[in-house]
Amino acid sequence: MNRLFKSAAMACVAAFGLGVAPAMAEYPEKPVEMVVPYAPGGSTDVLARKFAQYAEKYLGKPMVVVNKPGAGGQLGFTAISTAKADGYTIGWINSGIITNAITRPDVKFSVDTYDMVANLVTNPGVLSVTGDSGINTLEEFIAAAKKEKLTVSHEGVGGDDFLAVLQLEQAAGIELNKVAFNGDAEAKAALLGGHINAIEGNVSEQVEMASEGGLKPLVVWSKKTAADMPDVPTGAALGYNILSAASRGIAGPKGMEPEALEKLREVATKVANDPEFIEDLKKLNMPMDVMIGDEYLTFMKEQDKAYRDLWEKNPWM
Amino acid sequence: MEALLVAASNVFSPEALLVLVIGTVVGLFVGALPGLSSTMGVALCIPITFGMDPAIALVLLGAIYCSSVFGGSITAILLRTPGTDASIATTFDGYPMAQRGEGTKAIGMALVASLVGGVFSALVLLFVAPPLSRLALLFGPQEYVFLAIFGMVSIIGVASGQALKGFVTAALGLLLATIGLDLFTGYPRLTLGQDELLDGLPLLPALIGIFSVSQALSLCISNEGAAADKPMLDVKGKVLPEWAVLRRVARTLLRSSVIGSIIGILPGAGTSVAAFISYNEARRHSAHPERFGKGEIEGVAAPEAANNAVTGGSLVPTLTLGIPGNAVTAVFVGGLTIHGLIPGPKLFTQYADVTYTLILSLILANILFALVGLVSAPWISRVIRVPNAVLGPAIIVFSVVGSYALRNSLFDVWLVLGFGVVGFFMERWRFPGAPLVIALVLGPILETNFRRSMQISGGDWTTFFTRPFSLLLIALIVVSLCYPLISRWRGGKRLLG
Repeated sequence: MNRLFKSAAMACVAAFGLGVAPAMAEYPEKPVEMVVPYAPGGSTDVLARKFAQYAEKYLGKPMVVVNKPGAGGQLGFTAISTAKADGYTIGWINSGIITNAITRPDVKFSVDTYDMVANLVTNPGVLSVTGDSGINTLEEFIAAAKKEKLTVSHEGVGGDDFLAVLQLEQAAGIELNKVAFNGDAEAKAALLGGHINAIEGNVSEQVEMASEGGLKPLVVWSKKTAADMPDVPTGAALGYNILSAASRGIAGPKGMEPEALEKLREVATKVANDPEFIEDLKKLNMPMDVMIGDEYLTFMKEQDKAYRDLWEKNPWM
Repeated sequence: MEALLVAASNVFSPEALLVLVIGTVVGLFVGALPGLSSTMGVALCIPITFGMDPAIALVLLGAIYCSSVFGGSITAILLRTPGTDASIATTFDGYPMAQRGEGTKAIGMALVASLVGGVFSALVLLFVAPPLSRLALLFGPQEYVFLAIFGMVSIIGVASGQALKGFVTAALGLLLATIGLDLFTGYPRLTLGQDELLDGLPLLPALIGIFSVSQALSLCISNEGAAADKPMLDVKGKVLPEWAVLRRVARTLLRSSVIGSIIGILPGAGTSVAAFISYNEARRHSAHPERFGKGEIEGVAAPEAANNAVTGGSLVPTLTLGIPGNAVTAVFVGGLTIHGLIPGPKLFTQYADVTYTLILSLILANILFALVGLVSAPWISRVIRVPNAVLGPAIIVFSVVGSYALRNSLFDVWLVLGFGVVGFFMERWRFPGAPLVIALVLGPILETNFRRSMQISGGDWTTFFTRPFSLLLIALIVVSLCYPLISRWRGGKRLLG
């Protein structure tokens, strides 16, 4: 009896050891929490949920979306950068981690407080007027702005669209009446209603209205022409070296376990190459722009430098 | 017409009907729970629709949207806990009715009003959406300023008899409304270094604190005193309002449906604005304005018809222009694009069958939640027979969980409790809470649009008085303010005193 018990116990221990020991070494042992710094239903949230749906297949454990909205994303950015660096808390960041760190040096995040996993989507900035405004090019817009003060919408001082307008003013030597709106819906309604002259926003928000002729996009602030707006020239092509985009990527707190970071980057690469995921993002009107790991870090650092230079020359608040 | 028939066959398929029932029930819960907004309800269901046929997906989203707006009214009436800001105005008369034991009747009125408002606006959407969508464009920042002021006129009504105290709480509400990052300068205002306040004072925690938690605290304290008369409070009355009542409120229902549909179309307004304005208009047109705020059934009918009429209205610019009428429909746009349906004029031509399916399902959802409400009202309204010692703490627990769920933030829980204590003492000292909440909702609309107008006009004041629509709104405000004086004058009474 005793012997039987012993061997049974041994078998249990062996089974336990066999079953668990490799799992201990392998990340992930449990679901990974993915912080979305915005409310459910926003475009970052939609993207995150789509990503999580595909990531589970490659990660082997679910990715759980947790919304931490507030302060224009800053609460979520802080939550990600101050989380335990064990690889079980990651989240979505954007250029807000740069601009807020410049204007509010006391925040607990900056480009240096994250380990970058991957950038997934870049939605370039675009400046548009109405289809019947008579203005067809950026040059005509600048000429008109020199004659009379034109009103341009943005979505809050310090945001990427505001900074694009600021850079354009500087580069073209014009002064624009920059008016803040709560989101692209209100701004588009004000533009179509003739209450303002132009809107600065992102390609995906304007592509439908532009294809129907309601909007006339003048310039896209990206290096390459936007796939959704192939006929619209880039800033660089017109001689304005301005880059502005709403980019959305995944990062974790600085100093993550190397194997966890490696695995997450691998998962992101696989998801980004999944044909169904690509198809879904196309439907969602989200221009994919995949940058894994260090490439993403370089991109963010470049943006950080550009905005810091702008702040040096022309602090916006 | 052909598209309409296709849509009808879509909606009446077994699959669609099943989804409709599920969506309606989910929506009722989403609306009733303070931590879940209509926006969240729709957003969280979008991933579920990925694999569905576009028409079925829209049926689900539409059903959740409509019934969640109604769901908030049930708790607003019975527990003074508006599940969403859409049902703030419903608490004004709904809760006093419930306290009198007329909760069933109030819910009955609310469901009839919601049905009328919802169906009215769905028909507006069905027949006149493209021309009406121009309205969304005619309203510039200047017009939104006056729309917000029009909404604020309702403060006078809800504070009646306590003018000075109402003025004080409204001013406090306006002050609280300025908290947060200033969009126009980028500087934080009155945030006391709390990042949680950068987006402004979160509305729902403030709302739930002032209305529900304060009430729950009173319930807990008044327990001994109320124990004696508690059993007397029976749930009386049939659910549906009598024919005579319906005839009396018919004009109010129609007026509120029109107001709700129009305000729904405007992207910068909001459901609660529609409810405030129609509440005030109902009071102004009533033969007994003094009964409002004390459990007048018309005071339930007006905001309920209006807030459900917003649903159809807000889809007008969403579907025709691709400009969402509010946060929920912004999420809707996401749901539409996933299924390859791009909001814009094509939705009424090329994809008309899918669009009409959505509209028909809105109508069906309205009927369905009314039925669910009809069956369940006598049961749900027994909640007021629960002893105060249980009900009070239960409301507090719900409020705490709900406020945490909104942003996954403990800060909001403290906020809800803080506002609960403030609301409790306001009630003790007879400072009305409604003006504060109305000012808190309308303050940001007023301020941002005022500053926007001034910036666009280059600081020229006359911009407010040289536009046809702002003049029209000014006229409406003046009439609304002077009406009591005019009716006195016509009645041969003295103008003052």
